Amino acid sequence: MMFKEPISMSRALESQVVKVMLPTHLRSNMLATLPIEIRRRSMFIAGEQSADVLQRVNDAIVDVLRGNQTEEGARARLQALPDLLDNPRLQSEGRARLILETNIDMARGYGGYQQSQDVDVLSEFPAWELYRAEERKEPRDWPARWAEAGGVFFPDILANSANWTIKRKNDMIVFLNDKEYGKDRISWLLANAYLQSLEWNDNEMRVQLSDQISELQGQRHNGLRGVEEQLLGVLTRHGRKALGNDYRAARWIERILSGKLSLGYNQGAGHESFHESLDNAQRENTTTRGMGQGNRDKFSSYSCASWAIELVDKESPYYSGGSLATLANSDYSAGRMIALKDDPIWTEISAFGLPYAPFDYNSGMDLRDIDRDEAEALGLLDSGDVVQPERLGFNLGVEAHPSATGSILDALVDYYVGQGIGRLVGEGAVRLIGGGS
Amino acid sequence: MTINFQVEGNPGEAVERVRAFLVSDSMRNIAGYEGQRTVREHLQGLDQTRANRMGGRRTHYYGSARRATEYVIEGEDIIISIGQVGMKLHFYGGTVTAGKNISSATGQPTKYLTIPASPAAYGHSARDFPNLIVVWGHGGKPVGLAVAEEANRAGGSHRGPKLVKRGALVPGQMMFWLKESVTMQPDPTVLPTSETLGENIADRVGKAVVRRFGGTSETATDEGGDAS
Repeated sequence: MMFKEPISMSRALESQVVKVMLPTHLRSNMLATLPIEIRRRSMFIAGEQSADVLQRVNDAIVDVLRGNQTEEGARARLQALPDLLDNPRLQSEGRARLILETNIDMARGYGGYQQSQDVDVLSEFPAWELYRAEERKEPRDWPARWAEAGGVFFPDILANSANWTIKRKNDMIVFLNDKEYGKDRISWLLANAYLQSLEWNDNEMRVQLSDQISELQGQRHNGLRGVEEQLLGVLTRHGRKALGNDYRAARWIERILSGKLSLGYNQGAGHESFHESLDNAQRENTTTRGMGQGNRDKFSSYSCASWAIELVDKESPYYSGGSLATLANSDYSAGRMIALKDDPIWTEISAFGLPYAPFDYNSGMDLRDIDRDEAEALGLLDSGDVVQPERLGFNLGVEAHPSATGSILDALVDYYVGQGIGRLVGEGAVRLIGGGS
Repeated sequence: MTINFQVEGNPGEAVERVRAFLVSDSMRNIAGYEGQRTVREHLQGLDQTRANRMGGRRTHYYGSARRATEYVIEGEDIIISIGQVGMKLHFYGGTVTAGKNISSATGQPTKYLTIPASPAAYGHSARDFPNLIVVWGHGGKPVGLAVAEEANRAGGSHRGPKLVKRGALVPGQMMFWLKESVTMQPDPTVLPTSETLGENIADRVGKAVVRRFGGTSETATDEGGDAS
């Protein structure tokens, strides 16, 4: 059921609303030396010395976490703050976006982390995999960071298998263009298509559909959902006939129809006119992964008239939410980055010193749960082993609850004053000594 | 879902232990977490396959929705929530009308929604672009915001930050359509089907039961296979 009012992200939200404003002149590298409990419980922006600005930024973040505001709306709100006009660094779009996204994701990451540390959840999902959730133009070298932290790489069977190479079969080419994956617009009807080649194994099925080109032209459709229905219809009508009595293939069809499979697409033709799309496809194909020069011409000529379709088993341990394609990017060239949830590596790879995502600014990396069956199969633990939960408590003796804000503030003041580095400057704000007015 | 397990001793007591587990907070946490995981994976799939149709900078709307997915236990209920503006609208469809937000330019309620008309407009608000001019249509109604002459600013200044590369915007280029309201059609595919959720949760709970009490579990879909 859907609720009329947004359901708050309780844990993420409570981690944000209890934050103490920490105006400071310190830069990022100096702030990074503060104890983690302080950083996690404080709202600060490097160099921002106005508690009022911090409070307004925090309010915007809380509104996003409550589901009351979009991130874009919150950013526009920040950039419109008159106080920020004196601080061009904060007013810039990129800076505002980074501040918001990082803080929002850290609050959400904290909420997810707390839930993942439940003893029963840990028993079922004892490990995480670090994976690339979003592409970046210039991704950091996460395998190197993982290796430097002592992480173990696990073989990525599918990414290294022959399934990821270009295949040719009777002039039909099954391809995977991971660089273009996700950028295509599914806006054209694939009408009266029929199966032209089909390959499958226990984990993956590749279907090549093709038809007379004229029938593909000029037929608009209402997007992905309609295409999905078309594909299911095609597979239902033609798939069974083509597959005959092959048990494994028939089982694939059943999984498709029961919704247990994810459909991914790679489309040669865009939503432009056919001739334009032909040109585009030829250009795009020059970047096709693993494509030898000798194959390109043939490839291009067919890609416009056909779709390559991946059907990925959601039950496969290598399923990554809609596609196996993410496994084929460079982050996985060294293998999969998996460790138990109580492994210190999660803190070690983090630029923020926290055991949950985000692990760095705008990284595009995230965590995927690995269930017990797979973790045991990978040798991470035995059947009787228990992963110890770790609650990120506040070492100064208070709990994360809105009503405890005063206690947190008191504790923070005690800490700062005790350390000789801060003083109370107003309700809900502590200033590090040396900060401006 | 079918769970088979052998019992040593009193069968009634064993069944009672399993029953107690199935109504426990432990089970709810496991079921809630699996539900959350299923929704997150579904949204991850959408994020990979539903880039904005015009191209341009990706906002990763569904990726953000994935990170905003959480479960909470309220009494005997497990609630999986997505704390992201717009998900309900995507699911049910509906009409969005201008006036809900305050215009940063006028300080008054907005009169129009700004709909990206160019890939460069994705992930931006109109105020991100200097020197946009209103394009008027028949009857004197505004229809869009287009790039005026001298619109490209390559460097930051006291009036604002660096926004676009020099020459990136073409004078006259339509950046946003202005609409008083926009109606979206319902799209139930933004969430996994209740069948998928149910099967995944049942499967997960079955595994948890077997892990604690021994035996084997089978979901309904595992029993099928000969479909030809």
